Amino acid sequence: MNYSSDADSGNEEFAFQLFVAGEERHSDEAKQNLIQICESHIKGRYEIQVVDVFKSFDLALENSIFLTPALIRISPRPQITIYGTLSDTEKVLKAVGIEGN
Amino acid sequence: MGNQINLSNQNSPLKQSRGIEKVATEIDGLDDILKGGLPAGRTTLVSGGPGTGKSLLGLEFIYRGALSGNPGIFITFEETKENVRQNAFTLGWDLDTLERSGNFSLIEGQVPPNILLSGDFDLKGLLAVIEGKAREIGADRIVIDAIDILMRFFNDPKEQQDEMLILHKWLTDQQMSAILTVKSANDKLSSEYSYLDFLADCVMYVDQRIRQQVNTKRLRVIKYRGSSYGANEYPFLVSDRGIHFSPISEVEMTYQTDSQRVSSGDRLLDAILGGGYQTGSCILISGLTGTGKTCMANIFARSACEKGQKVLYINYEESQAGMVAGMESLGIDLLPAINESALEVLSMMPESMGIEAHLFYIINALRRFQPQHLVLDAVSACKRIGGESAAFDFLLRIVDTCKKMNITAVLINQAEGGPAGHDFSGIGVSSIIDTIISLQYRDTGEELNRALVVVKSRQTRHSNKYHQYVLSDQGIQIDPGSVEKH
Repeated sequence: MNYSSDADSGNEEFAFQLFVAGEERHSDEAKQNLIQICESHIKGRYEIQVVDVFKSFDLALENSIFLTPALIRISPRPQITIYGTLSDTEKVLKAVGIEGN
Repeated sequence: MGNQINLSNQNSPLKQSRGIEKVATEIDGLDDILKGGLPAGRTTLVSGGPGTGKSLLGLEFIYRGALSGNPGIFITFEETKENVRQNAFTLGWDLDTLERSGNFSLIEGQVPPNILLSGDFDLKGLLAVIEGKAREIGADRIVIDAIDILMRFFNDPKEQQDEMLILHKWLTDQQMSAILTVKSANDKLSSEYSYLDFLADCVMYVDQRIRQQVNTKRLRVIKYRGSSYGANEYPFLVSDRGIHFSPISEVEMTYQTDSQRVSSGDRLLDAILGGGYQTGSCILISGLTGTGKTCMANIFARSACEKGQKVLYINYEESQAGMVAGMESLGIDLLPAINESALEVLSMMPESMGIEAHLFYIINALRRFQPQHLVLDAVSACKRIGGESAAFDFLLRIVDTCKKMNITAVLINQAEGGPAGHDFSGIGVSSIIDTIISLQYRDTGEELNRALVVVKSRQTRHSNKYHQYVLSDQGIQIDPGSVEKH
């Protein structure tokens, strides 16, 4: 496998915060897509915290989350935010710094 | 999302008008235009170009509401929280303290321009934040500045509309009195945002124009469902305290007595003038320092007030206290007139504001106070406001307004010397003046006397002689010998 300097080196731990708006269509899609991506590419070394903005508006405010769903890569640093249902896998991988297979 | 936000806050000034409830903005003059205020629990749109004051209008709505105990939220997508706080600070608004009191919440809706996107998204994050905050502080008022920035994230116009509908529905369900600001080049919302028009119960448009060196901001109500409203364009000003709208007055004409003349306050001067001053005309009293111009103007003011009339005295030279004390030493007691609110003194420093602000305050005061007469002390000080040409425009506007309202305008001028002693400080206002009284020194070599002459008085047979007078603790005493009986 080729690894670019930015990308996952095979050992790194990923921590994500996924902001969703309750239980609805976009939320489900985003959750599914994220889990799928993580299982396929960084299995065993990721952690996802799902935040319902309606239950934790403070957290949403702190992170300036006004559009949902929103994914924040907490680690590795720096923090990166992607908005949307994460339907475009390639784009997500690239943004989040996971090398595709 | 079942929130129980109680709208019947006991501090909430709701007004009934034709069946719809309103929420007072408490912005100076705006509630008159809106016949009570904004539609309660509904959405108002404020559109306009950049720098026209829409954000400030929204902020002042929330600020004043918070001060009266009605919690509100201001979300800015336009500026940083710090900028909003700073701008508010220059208006003397302490947002920090208000926030700590729990009646105000300032939210910065920062979403970077080049956000990473993958797949569909929606505005629910925003809804969650404002719902949470509203619940936390019990807010029933909200301003979103500006909604078009938020809309930009949705490229598809249909998506935009859908999201706005969701936002609007949420605001209505929560019974929030909301103001959404939107950028617009003219009073027709661009086709892009025309759907917003349908969502809002009240739509207002603000613009700004520069005319004759004067920058005016104006507001116009384009629509107000279920309510009557002032249909004109209303100029407003951003002062050092907030926004002020010109008061609406249905009656522009002041109530004048039948007689065409008003006494100058001095019998002999009246005779010299051929019967006193003409009501609604413009009189210039010009002279060097110490000739008694202010005294003459105040003799007139006091006399008019004693007859039950009102005088507005604009003083650019000294404070009310200074003026009262000065006149007292000349035997003229202004206190009774002041205490009865017949004489109102507006004491201002010319340099303190721009021309448009001065005009605004004076014209507003004329409309509000509705005096029969105005004294401007002094014309010469007006040059310090913004230069000669601006001073001329300023005077022209004031005199014009007085003529329209049939208010007698007495202008005091500090002459700068010259052969006849009645040069008018280089400001070419003589064309709009009906009567000119020149007060002069006469140096006989042994004595320094004073003499007055009526240089002109339109449509009047007036004396053209020099009349000696004395200034003392008995005011102005004209030598009766020189005055012919008319």
